Amino acid sequence: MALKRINKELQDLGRDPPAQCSAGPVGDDLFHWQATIMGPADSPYEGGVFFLDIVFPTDYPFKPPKVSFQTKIYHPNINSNGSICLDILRSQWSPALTISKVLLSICSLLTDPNPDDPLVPEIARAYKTDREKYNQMAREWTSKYAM
Amino acid sequence: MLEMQIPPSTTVRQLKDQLLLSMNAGLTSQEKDLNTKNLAIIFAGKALQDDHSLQECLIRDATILHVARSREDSSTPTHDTQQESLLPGVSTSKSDTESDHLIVTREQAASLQCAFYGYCRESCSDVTAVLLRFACDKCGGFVFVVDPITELDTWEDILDGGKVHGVCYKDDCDGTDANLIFKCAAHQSRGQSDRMHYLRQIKLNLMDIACTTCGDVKTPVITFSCDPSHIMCLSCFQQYCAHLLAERRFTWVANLGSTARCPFGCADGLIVDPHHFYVLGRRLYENYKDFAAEECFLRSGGTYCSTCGAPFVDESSNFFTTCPNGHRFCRKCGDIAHAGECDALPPPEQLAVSEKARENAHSRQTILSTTKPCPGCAAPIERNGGCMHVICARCKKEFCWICQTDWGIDCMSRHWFA
Repeated sequence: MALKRINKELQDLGRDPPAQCSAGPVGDDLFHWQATIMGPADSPYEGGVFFLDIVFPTDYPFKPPKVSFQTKIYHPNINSNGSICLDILRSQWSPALTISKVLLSICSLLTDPNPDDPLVPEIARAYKTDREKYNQMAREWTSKYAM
Repeated sequence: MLEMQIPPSTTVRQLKDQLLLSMNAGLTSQEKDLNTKNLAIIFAGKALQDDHSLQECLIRDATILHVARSREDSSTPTHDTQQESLLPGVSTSKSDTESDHLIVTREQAASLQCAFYGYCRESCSDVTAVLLRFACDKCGGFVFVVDPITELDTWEDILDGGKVHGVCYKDDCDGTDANLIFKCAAHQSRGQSDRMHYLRQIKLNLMDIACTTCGDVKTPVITFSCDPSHIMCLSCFQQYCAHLLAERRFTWVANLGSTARCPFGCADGLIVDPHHFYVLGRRLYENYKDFAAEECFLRSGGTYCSTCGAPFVDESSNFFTTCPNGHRFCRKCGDIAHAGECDALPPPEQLAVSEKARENAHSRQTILSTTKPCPGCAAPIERNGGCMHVICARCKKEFCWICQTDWGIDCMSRHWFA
């Protein structure tokens, strides 16, 4: 079941990939994927290419995939280990969601951070109180690590 | 009305031949030109196809069929019909060989495009096609002819147990009311009491819609109550519910109890009849019932004894509470009443007298050492991975695994991923 569904998502991604995202298996193991997200144009991450690591559980899609950033990023909801704070990857997961939808959600998280549920409070504080500094730091980290 | 006893493997064409033979005697010479092409056998609003067997058409004991005759050599019957009825009897199917038995497998039932499905718990343990029968209110028999249905009776009313009027044809019975009842089409009926529950959210997938979860096009499927109704194939639904059960993630709805929500999260997308959880299988369905009862009890303010499991209601706000069997325990950690802090309990060896009590004490100690109590409801919680932000599956409280208090900005900054 899991393998069949993962295969189907792979085909769908090939046929109709979401804008700015791509994803596919790392090697022979279909349960281990890598993905890339291009920094959205209206964000300080513009121009960067961010790599992500995706691990599917054996009972996918009834359990959520584990998704983490491999590229360092200055964002209030993503910490230095690449862990992402996103409800659909935890309690709000549903078997109707797909990797494509998860990647799109992460894209919109890059455009609109959620400083009220921060993983990195210093970045959240900067985002809330000194937007200019936040934008500048995010652009610096993007050009340093993601270009 | 003409009564006939026919084995279930008879094809519609053979039935027509037989019918012509038995009709021939009473026909005029002109009418003797009739051949099978001029006859149409009508059942459930459809003219049956010649190469189908009665079994495939879901025709069973005490079924009334209509025979329509057309003068033209055409396949569509005209309205100039002569009605005949026949009653294939149970005796024929009993004397038949094994292969002739009136059994429709699940695959066959699916290919028959049946519009009604249920879960057969008696014999098949599977989702099967449903046979609809009107059972006489008085004698319980199925030889009942329904009056034309008036505008007062809607189909929904009848499905919900509303009565219909008609005439019971069973010997010596003068019943005039009947109820719609449902029988499994996949096994031979074991009598009048062999009935099943009709599951109205299992439907034919007539528009070939892909399952929201596996993406395959299957039929029949589960349809959620949202508009447009999202669908899930039966095997995904079974796994979906098994996960909801294991993770206590059923949705609580005031007038329905614990139920499953549409995977797209639609507010009005639910399973409205919990009998659909029959698809979990007997063992898991029992677990579901226990879960749903527990959830309902806890939501109405009940407590379970931590020693004997007895349910009771204690409306006081005392630190310790006592169950009807006299077990006194701490509401915070769920352990037996103790002096001082919750973790200051003596080791099991010192505490218990009998072997059983010692075993219980050891179990409690294991639970205490591998779990932490939810700060909201004291349910023991085990954490097997992930971050420190824990949501109690029972009371939905969000708390920090390390601080054991409400999840807050402090925990996010200091030890979210520890």
